[in-house]
Amino acid sequence: MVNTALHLVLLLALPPLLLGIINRTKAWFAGRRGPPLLQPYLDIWRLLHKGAVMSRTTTWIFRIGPVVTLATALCAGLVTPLATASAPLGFAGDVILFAYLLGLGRFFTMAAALDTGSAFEGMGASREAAFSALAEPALFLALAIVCIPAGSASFASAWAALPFGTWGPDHPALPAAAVTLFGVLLAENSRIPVDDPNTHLELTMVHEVMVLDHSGPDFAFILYGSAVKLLLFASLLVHILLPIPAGLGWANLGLFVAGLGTVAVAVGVVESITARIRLPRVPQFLIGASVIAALGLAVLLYRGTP
Amino acid sequence: MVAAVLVLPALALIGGLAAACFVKAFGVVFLGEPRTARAAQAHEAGLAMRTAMAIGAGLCLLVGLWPAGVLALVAPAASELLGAAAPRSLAAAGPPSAVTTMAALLIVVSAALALVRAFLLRGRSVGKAPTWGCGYAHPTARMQYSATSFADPVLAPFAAALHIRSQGELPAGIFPAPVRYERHVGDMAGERLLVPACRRFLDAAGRLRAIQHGRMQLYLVYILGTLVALVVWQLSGRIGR
Repeated sequence: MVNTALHLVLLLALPPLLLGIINRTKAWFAGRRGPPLLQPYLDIWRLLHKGAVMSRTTTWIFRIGPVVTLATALCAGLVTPLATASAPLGFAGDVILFAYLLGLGRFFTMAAALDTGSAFEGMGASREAAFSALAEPALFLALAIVCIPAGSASFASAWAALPFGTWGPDHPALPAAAVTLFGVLLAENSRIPVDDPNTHLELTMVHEVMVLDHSGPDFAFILYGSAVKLLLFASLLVHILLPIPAGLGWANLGLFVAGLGTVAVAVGVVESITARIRLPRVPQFLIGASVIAALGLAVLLYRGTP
Repeated sequence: MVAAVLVLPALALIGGLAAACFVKAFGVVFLGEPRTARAAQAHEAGLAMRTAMAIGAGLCLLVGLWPAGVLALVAPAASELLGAAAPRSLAAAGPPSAVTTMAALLIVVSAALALVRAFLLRGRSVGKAPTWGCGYAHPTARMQYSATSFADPVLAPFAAALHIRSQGELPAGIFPAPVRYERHVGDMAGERLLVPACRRFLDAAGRLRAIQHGRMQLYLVYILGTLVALVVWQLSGRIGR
């Protein structure tokens, strides 16, 4: 009961903080002071109190897009373990549900973008469709590396089967899974080098351009939903890199939050020190991530699970 | 092992491509501004036609929301074909009750968020405006993304394997003259596999046509030859034994 309550609090309260940490990291690299750490919360709060402007072309698809996208992210959050090794609604097969819930949310974001009839939003939707299709194999290969030793496609058993000394020579596949997941995290959450969340030129956007016409509470839902998605990917990464042994009590929570912060800082560092790759090169980035995970999986299957 | 490393990403890729395909099909046909004058006159079909589609869509929804019941209907047929192993492998798709729970939860959460949204927007100004066009005030339906433009980045990584034909020229210069450009993506299984295979087979069969020329006498010779060959084959078998 306490675990479930804690899970819900983390899932609902923590996501915008990661965006804040990323922005502060980028500001520090650029020699600026940057926005306050809690600025994303204030942004969402401000948007929730605004009216909205809608395109005359749009239909109800446009209006349910942000709602369904946020709902899928929250439901995916209920099967993804956060501070503990299991999630409130986890079951055998929740890994697949996790991937396809996010896919469903993406489907509605793309449909809402096409609903506006805008060339820009069509462009964003088509890029998103192309990149997410290529990110899918990478995600599944990385998840296979953690699920196969456990013999079950569920996060709870996968995390339980992770060894505490992850980085030992006995587990060469896990670093491959972590590297691939980090790449997928950058791509799926529209971060540099795949997409630039700060760009102001429509022609170069991927995710931002799909949501150009959303405003007010709809845009708040979108911002919050993408922050939740970032939290989920970051928590997968934390569990792989820092297998938290069960039964540490509150220390678990501290380790987990510190891990999330580290992932956010890492994202900020990557955004500060790398340039965005050209759009035609993005498939290479994603296929490269898949190849790394496929090599890891091949090593894992060849050596057998220790 | 090779199977796992190859099949898993292939299946995942198919999932992603299926999403791209259906966003394209649904979005280009039903969303945005009407792309042609005839599409602008589209109207809802009659009740009978809508009912037929609603039954199909409702059954799809049922399979998604209550897979346990549907699997129970399918399992006897599958075990008839595959032996006793089938029902277990069907059930291994996950405890269907959990899928049903999550689907119901998703619907409840979506409905709750829709209510929150309606509550937030109640009494506030919800303006109507043209779609944002980067400051351009007169967007037309022809500027929308078409099915071909939507598919282009999805197909780009696979261009080497696809049969993409394009003809015409691209607009050039500061005041471009009207140009015509066409682009078609061929059906890969048909054009690269089935049609060449069929053509090769027909070529081989065509060579045999030389023996079919309409002279009765020679047909009788074929029959005689066949009979002699059969007799020789039978006799040689007997003698051999």
